[in-house]
Amino acid sequence: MELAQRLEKVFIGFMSTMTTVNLKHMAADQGSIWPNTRALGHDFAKKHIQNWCAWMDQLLSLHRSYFVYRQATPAQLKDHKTALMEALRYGLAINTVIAEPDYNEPDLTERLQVRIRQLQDAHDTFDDATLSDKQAEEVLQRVFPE
Amino acid sequence: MNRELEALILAYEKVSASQDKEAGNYLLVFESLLDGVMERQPGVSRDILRKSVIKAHRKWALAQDVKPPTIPPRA
Repeated sequence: MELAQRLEKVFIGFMSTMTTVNLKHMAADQGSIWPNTRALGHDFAKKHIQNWCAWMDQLLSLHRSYFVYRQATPAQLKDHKTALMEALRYGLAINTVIAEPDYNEPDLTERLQVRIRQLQDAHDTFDDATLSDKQAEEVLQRVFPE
Repeated sequence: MNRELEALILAYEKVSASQDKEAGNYLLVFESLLDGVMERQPGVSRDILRKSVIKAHRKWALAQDVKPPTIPPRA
């Protein structure tokens, strides 16, 4: 299956899960006037973040295969850096929601934060104004002499 | 290659090759190895050293004959 089709499938799977989650909560609340909005919101966010983590796994696999182990073209690299930055921004945004103590999903929080760290590392590999390749070489020579 | 640097590169390779919870565990191993180096290098910025090792990991990866497939595994 083409990569684009796979990614589309992840998105469609996500939307389908969202519908199921909502219906489940509505069915559980048939006897009450007010639906369990807190549980609905929590489940919605949780499923969304789980799917987001799955997408980040895909993006990091792409990064590894195409950009770490192989030399990409400048155009591919430009697109990839943009994708990494956008994924990083969004990951940081949802981290502010999930990291609140009352959200209470420590495993999911840790999983997201590891992905954010990996995305930052991936981005910095190619686009870090604070450290050139030459400077990195010098640091390594100093700390790890042959 | 310096053995300590090689150990760090291989530890980061495990982070790079893993997904889900496994990635977190390997990241902890990598960070603790880096902490060990930092204890003996008080004048060096941890962040700069970390980034330098990750750049070295890429250089190492480019030189490998066996490469991961270009179509990533399913999520």
